[in-house]
Amino acid sequence: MSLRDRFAELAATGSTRCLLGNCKLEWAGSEIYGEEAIAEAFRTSPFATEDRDLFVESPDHAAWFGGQSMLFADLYEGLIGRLWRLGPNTSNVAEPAVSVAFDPDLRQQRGSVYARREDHSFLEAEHFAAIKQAAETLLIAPLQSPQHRARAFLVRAFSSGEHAAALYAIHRLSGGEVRSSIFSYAAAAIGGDSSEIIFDQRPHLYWTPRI
Amino acid sequence: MNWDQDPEVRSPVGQPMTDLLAEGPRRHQLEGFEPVYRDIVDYIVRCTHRIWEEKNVGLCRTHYSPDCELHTLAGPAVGAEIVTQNTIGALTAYADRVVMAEDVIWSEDAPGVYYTSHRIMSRSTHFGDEAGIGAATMRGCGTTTIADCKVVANRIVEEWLVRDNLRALWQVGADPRALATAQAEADGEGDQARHDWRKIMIAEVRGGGDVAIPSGHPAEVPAAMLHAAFVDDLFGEAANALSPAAEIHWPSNRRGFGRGYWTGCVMQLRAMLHHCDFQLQHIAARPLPHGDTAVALRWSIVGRHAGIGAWGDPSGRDILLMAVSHFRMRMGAIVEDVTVFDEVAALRQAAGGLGA
Repeated sequence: MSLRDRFAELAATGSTRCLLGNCKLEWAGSEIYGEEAIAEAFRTSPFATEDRDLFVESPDHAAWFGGQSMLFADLYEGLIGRLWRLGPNTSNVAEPAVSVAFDPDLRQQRGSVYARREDHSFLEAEHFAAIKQAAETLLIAPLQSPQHRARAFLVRAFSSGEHAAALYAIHRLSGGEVRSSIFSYAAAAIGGDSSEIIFDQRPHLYWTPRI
Repeated sequence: MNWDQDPEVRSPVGQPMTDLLAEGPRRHQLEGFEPVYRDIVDYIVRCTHRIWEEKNVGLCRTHYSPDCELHTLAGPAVGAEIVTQNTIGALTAYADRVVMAEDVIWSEDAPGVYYTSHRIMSRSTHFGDEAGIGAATMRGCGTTTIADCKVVANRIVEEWLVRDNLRALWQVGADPRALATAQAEADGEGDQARHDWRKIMIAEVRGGGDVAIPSGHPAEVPAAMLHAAFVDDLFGEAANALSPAAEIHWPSNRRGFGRGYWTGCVMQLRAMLHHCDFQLQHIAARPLPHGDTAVALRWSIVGRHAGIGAWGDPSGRDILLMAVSHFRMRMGAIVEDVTVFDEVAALRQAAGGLGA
């Protein structure tokens, strides 16, 4: 059974065959721990791809782009240790959190994409440049405006033949009289005929810097 | 020992539970341990499984020494009996608790003296009533605990336990500030000498003196980072130890990415705690899959609660925090920081609890 087949089994039926026991799933701003709870999440809301999809893998990661949704996984000998699910969801409840005031740039020379090539063992050099460029043009530029400040952090990335896949954390600070600060995820597939970008959709979290 | 010796003693990271709990021959010399334990990581993972998941709680009596010291910011406890009773209580309130080993970062600090830093993600249902929290809510919950244990001959002889208690309270719908205030009021009653441990710990941290780090040990980088931040207030310089996209998990659901976010977490504490002292208390490191390195640091800070912030208005009290940080390092930089401390204990101290 291929890795893709095992992902499909998880996505459709919640099979745990490709999950490590202590796997963690992040989805819609929530963390779901353990193979049992993750399986239940997929049984409740199966992951479905559209007609055109893209599955890419490396020894330590796999990503499945399925139109409006995607899965990104950390792999250990073919088993998933950590999983992100991006795309539409029905959740509107975020766990409470202590908000942290911070400056993403730490200098006047501001960046838009924070990434370090050495963090990504299976990412080809040319793909690293392309992934940074994709973040700047496809993720950050559309969000950047007088009303929004956006920064991308390259969390995971790998090459797979002509393709490369990347998972980004996006921080947005909205403008206006009262600002909002939020982290979310986005994923990109580049190479081949086209690029794909999928954004996480997570519930709004109120700014709560005090307990 | 060298931090990377005994490579056959593997981290639980990336291993299926069936492999982790498979019985077999010893991989590691363990004097005085039960034959079922294959190595020190297996000892920690398997005995946790036997006690918490298989519900053989009485094994605490053969896995903790009669005079074992437990250190938490709720106050110290001594002995295997109290561990046994507390475990029975916890398993009554959270009967289906699953304890997932995220990592065990260990060292052999002297021949036969092991130190394990065990990061656990627990998942459970709030089935039972609890003192201070109240009636069972039947809510699902799960939070991170790090148990640092000194282990000799099959027994834990000293343990330092940190848990993200504030997140756990939120998950069952409790009010952390109300609970901390009630705890502080109760602390003010009875013999105040029972809180002397806190004064002693504060004096120790104020006295300084970091644990020594061997040259070339992976702990050098994150230890220098914490030192630069908490001792020198050079937050930006400290954060250069992190990858620019590092993932940060701090207590009470502080979740973010990048050097700036980490700096924000540290400064949030430092802004509340004036005249801050920092002490590095233990280090360990072990290899991880994919060429990464795991580093565990146990550290404490003390500061005068003189700044407004996450804990509310300044109380003017000295606040003691005991923390454990697990760092994932790759190619010389920190790519992940999982730090755990008990923020309810900070609120309790700010509310006047745990002694004068």
